[in-house]
Amino acid sequence: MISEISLVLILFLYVLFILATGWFAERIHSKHPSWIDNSIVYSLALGTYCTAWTMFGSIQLAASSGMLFFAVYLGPALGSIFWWPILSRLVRIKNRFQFTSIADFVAARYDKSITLGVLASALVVMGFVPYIALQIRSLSVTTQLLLQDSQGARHQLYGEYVDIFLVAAIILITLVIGLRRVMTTARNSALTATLALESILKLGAAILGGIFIVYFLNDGVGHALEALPKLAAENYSFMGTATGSQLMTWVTYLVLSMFAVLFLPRQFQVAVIANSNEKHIRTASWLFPLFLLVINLFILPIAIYGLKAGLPVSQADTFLMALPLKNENHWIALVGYLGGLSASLGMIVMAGTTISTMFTNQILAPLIGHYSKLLSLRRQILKIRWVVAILLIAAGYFYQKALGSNAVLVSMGMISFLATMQFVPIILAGLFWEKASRRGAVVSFSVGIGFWLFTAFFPALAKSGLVFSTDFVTEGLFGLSWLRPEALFGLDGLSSTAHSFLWSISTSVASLIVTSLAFPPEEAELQHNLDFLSSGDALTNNLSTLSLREAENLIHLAPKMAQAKGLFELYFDKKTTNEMLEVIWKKLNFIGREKISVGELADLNFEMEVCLAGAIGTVASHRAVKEISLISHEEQHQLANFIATTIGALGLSSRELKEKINFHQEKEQLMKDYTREISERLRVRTEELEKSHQKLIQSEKMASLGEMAGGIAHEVNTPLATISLCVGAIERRLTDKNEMLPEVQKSLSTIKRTIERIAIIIRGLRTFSRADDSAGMPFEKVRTAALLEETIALCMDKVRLNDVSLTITGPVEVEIQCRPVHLSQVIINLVGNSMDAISTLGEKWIKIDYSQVGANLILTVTDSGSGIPHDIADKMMQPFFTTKEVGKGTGLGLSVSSGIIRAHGGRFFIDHSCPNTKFVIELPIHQPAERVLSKGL
Amino acid sequence: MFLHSLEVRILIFLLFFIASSWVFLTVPNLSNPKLVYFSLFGVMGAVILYVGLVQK
Repeated sequence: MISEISLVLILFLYVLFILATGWFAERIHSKHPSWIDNSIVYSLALGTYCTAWTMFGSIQLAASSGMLFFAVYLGPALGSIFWWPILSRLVRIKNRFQFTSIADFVAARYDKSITLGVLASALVVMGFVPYIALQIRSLSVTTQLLLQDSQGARHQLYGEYVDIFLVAAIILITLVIGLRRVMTTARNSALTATLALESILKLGAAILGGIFIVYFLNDGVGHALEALPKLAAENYSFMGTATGSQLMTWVTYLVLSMFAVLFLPRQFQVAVIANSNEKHIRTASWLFPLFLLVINLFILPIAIYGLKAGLPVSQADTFLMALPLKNENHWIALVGYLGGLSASLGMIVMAGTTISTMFTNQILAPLIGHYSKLLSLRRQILKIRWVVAILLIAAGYFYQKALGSNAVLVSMGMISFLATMQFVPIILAGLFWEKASRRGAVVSFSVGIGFWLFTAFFPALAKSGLVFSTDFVTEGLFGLSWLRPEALFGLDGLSSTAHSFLWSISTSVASLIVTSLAFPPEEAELQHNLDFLSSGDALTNNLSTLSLREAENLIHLAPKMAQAKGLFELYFDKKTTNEMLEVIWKKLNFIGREKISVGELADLNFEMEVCLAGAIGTVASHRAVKEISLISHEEQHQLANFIATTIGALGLSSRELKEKINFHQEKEQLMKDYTREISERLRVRTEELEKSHQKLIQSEKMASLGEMAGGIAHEVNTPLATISLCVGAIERRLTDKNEMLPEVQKSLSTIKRTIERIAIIIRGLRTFSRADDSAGMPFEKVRTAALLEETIALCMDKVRLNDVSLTITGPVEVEIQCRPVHLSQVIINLVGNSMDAISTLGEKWIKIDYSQVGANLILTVTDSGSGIPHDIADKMMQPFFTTKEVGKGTGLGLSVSSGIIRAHGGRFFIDHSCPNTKFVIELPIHQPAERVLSKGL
Repeated sequence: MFLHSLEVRILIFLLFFIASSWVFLTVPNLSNPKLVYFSLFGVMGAVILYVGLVQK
């Protein structure tokens, strides 16, 4: 058993570790930003999706409903397919408008609507305070469990002070790391790094605890699943039957979690507001789902082994710790506990940060604008956020104390997800449908929240017994059965989550479409919508700004700077104000200038609004900048004139201007597509050129080789002729004088054979090198049959000697224009090669076939061999390549034949589709005049 | 680029969505829980592979 003192000490060290991480991250980020601003840290920070529910609640759901828990993690993975088109758009819009939360985003999108901002903030507070309570409850329960001995007895000296210590630590971390500065859009590297670290800790705890329970205490995953059917009969209500309502529950969980991972307020904060580079989304799209896959590997096996160990289903949420504790492994239980603590801590810190920011920016800041008595609060924004965060977390603590182990807390996870779903229609429409109007969004959001309250939130409160009577759930509102919140208008048989999901989403979507179409946005709102949507495009084209900068510099900058400084100092201290103004001045290139143009003044107005939005939200900043009248009435007039003049100079109506901008954007898109196509073509062309280049090199190589062969042939032929003459003379003299000795006769015969062999090689070389003068060898028209018969007659002796069957088939009348001697040489080469190749085979035959196909003669020489391997076939047309034994072949036959056929304008190749060895010669029957008149081969 | 298109993303999404729902509901999971368990993790793994491929 772990004592309270030990646990408090461990927790103290843990908190110090988290704070130190934040402190180091801040320092590291200032020197090496990429160590924190990278895709891995971003993906891990998204892991704040996994709360204590993942560590403990999932096991509870697995123990009661099998793999249903998995839908909560599979949903985000499926949704990640669309992360890039949705998230990248959101990030680009955030970079332009600098909104500070999801509530600020919807307010900014829908014509800077205060109503939407307030509604969104109220929904988030209602939906997520109970969720914070659930996290604290989970921490409290697991703390008590860790302090039990093996008999379940508790030895506590300080009672619930450990819980209070934990809550105080969470508040401290929220204030020190989450709410360290007033600008929420500025990079909070400490918070991002802390969230990433907590994700690593909970992942490590889930894997370590899982491996220990599944493999050290039990017999592995396979064994657990084999035990499932027996356990399922007693404990499983979900797995094993398939009905429509279960399908609806599964689909509901998938869809809810798919959107929750992006649009839960804390997730939106990490995924969009804290994103430093949209490219990180690419990595997170697969790395984060991988994180979810790994963290869930052992959930079901742990649930099964818990049930198998005889632990009750009702306590399944503690199996990760209870199973090690049952086996006296307190340290493993402590690891599980710290994993749960990390998960809860990450969620609460992010929720506290996000909700307090929403409160100040969406509720308080507009109020300050309305009531002059509240003006003094403008410099206290950060402190107010601290107070709100403390109150929120404290409310969560007291909420769970009041409800104890009440079922309402357990259902709060899904109720929060359902609350998140109410954002989905207005966010998606806001991103992709410019005609989604402010009125449509307000009506849609209100209707969605109304249905969520009636079908999910109020029934949960009623079941807790705190607010309403349970009759409200069972009998219906005012006792009307068709107003039963979990079977509204008679829609019965669904789980409460699926039921609420169906009603709230269908009515919300329908309201948005109908109201937006019935009350379309007016011109100014539509312009704002178009501007907002175009900010999300990758190819944003600020044409107006570019042209306005060309206006004359007439406006004095000093008074404008004083105005800007005055406004910023209402919200920030002098140092922060100066830093922010310096950033803006640098960005707009104002440093050292006395006057600016009216267009640049409009830029200054926009930049101030964006900068202030990072602290107080887009709605309040718009109002605040407007109130100081940075652009005076006269300047507004000048600006309007200038814009009108510019457009007038272009000769365009506003519609034409819009079309022109669209045209430019489309043009850029087309150019992008065209560039992609050109790149692809270039790649193909480069490959072709590469092939041609290789062919050219080969051709040059062959030409050099031919030249060299011709030279050698010439140089060797002359002395060889001399040798031949001399040998003949010696032989004649010795014979005439009767002095020829048998040994001398034998030697002379050997010399003559050798000379003959060298002569054959030289003839081959001369033919190959085209050194042989073919000018005197004209093209003649001959009958193919006669040519073949005459040619074959020359080698018939060898054919008979080798016992080869040779047949010639083809039409008698086909005539061809060719150099008969050369063509005969090709046939003799092929027949000779065939005889050598089949000499050792049992079946020996050679078939010569020819036919006229169109304007060509197709002549084939096939033998009984089994074909030629591709690797040899590739080389055999090269000169001096031979597979024959040394001394038997020159390696020139096929290369010479190939050259002859090419000189006839034909093709010479091996037919690999034939099971035997088959050479194909394709020759034009009639030769063109220029070839007939040309010299040489 | 073909794999990046919105149409293909929608098709792949529907394929995995339906596959996971089919595995969960129609496989006789009581008699073969291993198949359910590994098939669902397999679907998730396949999604990760696809997204990893198109987002590379």
